[in-house]
Formats: sequence, structure tokens, C-alpha cells
Amino acid sequence: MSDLKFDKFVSSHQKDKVSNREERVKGWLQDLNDLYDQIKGFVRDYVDRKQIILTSHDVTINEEQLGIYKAKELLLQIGSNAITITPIGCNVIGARGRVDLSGPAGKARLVLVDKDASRPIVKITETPENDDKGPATNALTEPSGLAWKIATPPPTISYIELNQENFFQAVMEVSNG
Amino acid sequence: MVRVSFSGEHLGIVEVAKYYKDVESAIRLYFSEVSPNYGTRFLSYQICEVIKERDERIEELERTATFTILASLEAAFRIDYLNRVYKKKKDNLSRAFRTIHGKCGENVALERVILQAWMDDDPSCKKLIGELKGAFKYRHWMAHGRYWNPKLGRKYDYYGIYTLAQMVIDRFPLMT
Repeated sequence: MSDLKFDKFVSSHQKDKVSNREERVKGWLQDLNDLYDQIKGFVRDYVDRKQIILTSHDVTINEEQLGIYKAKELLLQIGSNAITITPIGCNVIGARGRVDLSGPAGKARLVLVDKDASRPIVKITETPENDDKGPATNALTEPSGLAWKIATPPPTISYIELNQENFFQAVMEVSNG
Repeated sequence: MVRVSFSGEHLGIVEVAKYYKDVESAIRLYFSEVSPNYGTRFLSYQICEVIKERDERIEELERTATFTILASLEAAFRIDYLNRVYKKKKDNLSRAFRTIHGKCGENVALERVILQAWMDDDPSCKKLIGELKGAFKYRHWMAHGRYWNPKLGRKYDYYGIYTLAQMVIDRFPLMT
């Protein structure tokens, strides 16, 4: 086989890789926007009454397989308490994305998971012999649809619905412990 | 056959999580204004410096807890391997482990031998074992002093590793 042919083969795979990566980041940023829209809806009345100040700014995320990209971090200022809502990444174990809610008393996690999942699960699927992606993929599950949920902390991680009541509860926990 | 005498000191992941939770709460309390030593310990600090130091302590705690969780998983797989040999169960995996034990004894490589045998027995767990092997590379990096920049494929932290550990415990019928 000529070097030229091999060069072509290598570059075609590079292009695939870049476009897959771009697609994945684009999808992830859209998922983040959807989450932020939900959160803005939850706190809208408080923001309108100026009891909560909601701001956002760009943070840089570096994920090994996706490279460096920028995403929005939200900041909820409630009196003297600052709550940050920080995107962690989409290449995480057991989920399609994770965002951390941090306050002075601790952290809570928001995860993008199968809409029907109530805890981290591994769906049993037959794997083709030559599918050797190993840890390069986070597709431990093949979801039927995705939803943002609140993950309870260890020792028993379970997923609860992300609604206004549960979100407020999480904010109070990371603020007051 | 000389049997390995189990110490009974093997820590489960739930115990590690409880330990983590208590120590994290203690650190947060220590770095808060209600701590009895706050005024002297953090004399002349700016609040942002106190927070930065607190977050560094918690990050280190996360790493050590993560390390212990992975050690706990290794122990669980090794105890299972030995129990399947000692109890002479008739299932295919136990038979495979007895054959391996006949050749190599108790000192077998976790990833290359034990996890491979699980994967051969149940190919549907290939992806989960792939994740686990990736996490063990992270543990290797920590165990050897973290002095190089590892290529791990993803970032690992306490929550991610605990999630993985919970999935592993749920998925594999380990005889512990």
C-alpha cells in the first residue's frame, strides 16, 4: 500500500473525529442551555423581585476526548450566599453530562440521564466482538430519552426529578447543610 | 491447598462514603466562622483565601476516598475469586477460576486475569469492565505519586468513581 493511500486513510479518520467531537460539544452545550432555561424558570419570580441575582459567565472546560471549549456557568446570589452552577462535562461515568451545584455547605449534582432511570444502571446489551471502545465511551446505557435529574449523594446514589421544589431543596442544602 | 486468611478489614464502598461525608462535614465546619479556632487559625486571611484552602482540603479528601473505593473494588473481586475457588461452585466462572488458581494460585493479575474471566463469562459486561479498567489506571497514577500527566480518557472524581462502584456492585454477583 502506498504512503499516499495511507495518508488519505488517516486524514479521513481525523475529519470524522473532529466532526464527531464538534457535534458532541454542540449537543452538550444545547443540553446545558436547556437545563439553564429550566433553572431560570424556577427562580424567575425571585429574580423579578430582585431577591436573587442571577448572572452567568464563560468557563473553560477541558475534556480529554473533546478538547477545550467554553460553556456557561450560572451564579445565583441569594443575600450573602453564592451558589454556582458549574458544568463538569459530558464525558462522565454513568451519565451523558453533569453539572455541579455548589454552595458554602456542600455540593449537589445534576446529571443528564435516561428519563426513566431512578439510579445509575447498566443496561445489558450484547456487544459485538470487535467493539473495543473501552473507557473511551460513556455509553453504558442506551437511553430512550434524556432528562436532567438531581443525583442524591453517596452512599446510595439515586435520581430524583428536577422540578422547582427539588431544585429549591438542593439549593437550601448546599447553602445551609 | 493453603487458603488465604481474610482479615475482615475490607471496607465496603458504603463505609467509605460515610467516612467521606463525615470528614467533608468536619472540614467545612473547621473552615467556617462557627469553628472555635477560626479567628486564630485564619488570622489575616481574606474570605476567598479561606474558601480556597477549604476547597483544596476537600479535593484531597476526594482523591483519597476515590483511591479507597477503587481498592475496595479490587478487594471485592479478589475475595470473590478466592471464594469461588474455595467453595467449589459449579458455575462456569467458578470453574474457570479454579483452573486459573490451579496454575497461578492466589496472586493473579486483577485486570488481565480476573476481570478478563468475568468478561469471557459474560460479554455484555465488557463496557462496564472497560470503565473499571480506566478507573484503575487513575488509581495507578495516584498510587505512584501523581508525578506525571496521565492520559486517562476522562477526568475522575469522587462522585464519578462512586457511581461506577455502585454500578459494579449492582451488576456483578460478587461472593464476598
